[in-house]
Amino acid sequence: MTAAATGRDELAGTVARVTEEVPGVAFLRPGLADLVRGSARTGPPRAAGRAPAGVRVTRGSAAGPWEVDVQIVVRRGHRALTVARAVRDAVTAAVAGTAPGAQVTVTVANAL
Amino acid sequence: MPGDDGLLAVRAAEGDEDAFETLVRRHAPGLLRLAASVLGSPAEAEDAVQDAFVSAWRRLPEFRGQSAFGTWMHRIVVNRCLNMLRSRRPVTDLDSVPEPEAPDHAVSPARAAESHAAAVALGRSLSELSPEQRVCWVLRELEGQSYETIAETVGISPEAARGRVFRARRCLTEAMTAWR
Amino acid sequence: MAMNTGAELPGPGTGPGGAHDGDDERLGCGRLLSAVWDAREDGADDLHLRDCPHCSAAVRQLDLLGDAVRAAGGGREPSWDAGALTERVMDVVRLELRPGPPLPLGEREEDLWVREAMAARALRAAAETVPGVRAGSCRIRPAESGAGPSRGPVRVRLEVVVPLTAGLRDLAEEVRRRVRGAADEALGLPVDHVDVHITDVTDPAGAEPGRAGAEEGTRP
Repeated sequence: MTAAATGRDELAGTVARVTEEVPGVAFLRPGLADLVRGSARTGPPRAAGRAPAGVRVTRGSAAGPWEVDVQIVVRRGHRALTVARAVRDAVTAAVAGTAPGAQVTVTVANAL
Repeated sequence: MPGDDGLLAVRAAEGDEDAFETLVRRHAPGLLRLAASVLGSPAEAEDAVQDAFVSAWRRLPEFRGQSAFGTWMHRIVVNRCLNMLRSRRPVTDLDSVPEPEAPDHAVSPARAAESHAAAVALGRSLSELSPEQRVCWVLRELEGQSYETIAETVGISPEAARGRVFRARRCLTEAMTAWR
Repeated sequence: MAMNTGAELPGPGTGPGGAHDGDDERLGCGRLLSAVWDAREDGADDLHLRDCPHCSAAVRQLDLLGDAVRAAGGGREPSWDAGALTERVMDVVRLELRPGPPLPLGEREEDLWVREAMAARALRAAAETVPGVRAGSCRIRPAESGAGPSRGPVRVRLEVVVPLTAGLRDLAEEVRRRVRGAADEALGLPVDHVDVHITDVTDPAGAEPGRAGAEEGTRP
């Protein structure tokens, strides 16, 4: 694995971890592989060392800023905008050291 | 209330899986009963109905409510059952036909015994009908549908539906007479 | 035993006997078996059916078949576990969700989004907090046209079935107010227009719903 790929996976792992701790977040939007392993109702168990489908980390160029895309499922009764802002702020703060100036996009995919 | 099937179907078509879940829960028992009657096997019936619902979820965005959701589901299940019957090998295993339950108490004992024997014969001869005859017969005899509804569900003319039910009845009465 | 499994499709032009031709049987009295059974099924009041030995034998055959069907019917309805089937169906459905396009949450310069299907579900639920109102189609689109996901406020088009009351206009206004409220409080979705379309009215007494004559127009 290249150093760049390792850096990206570490970044994605950090994003996933802080996102799931934000109040109102039920879980990250699961991908197909996650759903096959677990139930979409209770939230999928994540394979160790693998970023879930709900987090995508990309970079336009080696020197450019990171682009972080987070897709979440929120708990019903929580305001979508409030949760999305909290996720953006938490992620921005958590990656400030390793990926300064990262652009964070948050999409609320579903509620349950 | 079944009256809001249309609203739920529209919501499901627009991606509301909760609305679809309500529809599945509501229509599953009746469709399972229908499929089990046609297929003669509860396990196969569950497969048929499950496949039909999954297919319905995929096709819902194109479902414009030309017919009621229940009618539409009936049609999908019936087609699914027809395909399963057609792909079956010719029936040789008569033991796989389930024994009917004990007769109803409402009829007189003598006639009950007679009709119980007939029910056994019925179960066997049902499996010898062609898939099309069997489907039309089940819709008519067990689901109590009109020939017009059967025709719409199966995609044939009402006269053809009437003809198939008649032929099925002939086969069944002949078979039962032969068994007694 | 002779089985007529061959002749499946009656096809066009089956002759004077109609669809039954070919498989039908003319009874000793001259009547067609199919006609006798049809008459029996329709509950026709025909003395001949009772008095004619040929016809009454044919009717008895059909009745015996009916008895056999009812006798076998007891085994036709095992206790179906529709719950387990529903779960299996929904497990597949959740692999194939249709979340719809992303809609902008919050301020114009933010990069936060919500999927249409989820937002629509919240708005329908808000409309249904008005007593008797049931919500159907709910489409949410950018009010400004343009390529790509727009950051501007959205336009909501909601279809509702409402109870028959004197004040349909007031009712529609109340639905609109609650939808706007939910868009802000439950979602944080800036809304430009809410169009409420009454597609049907229901009689609170429980009679059959009739087509609505009234349809609410567009109002911000």
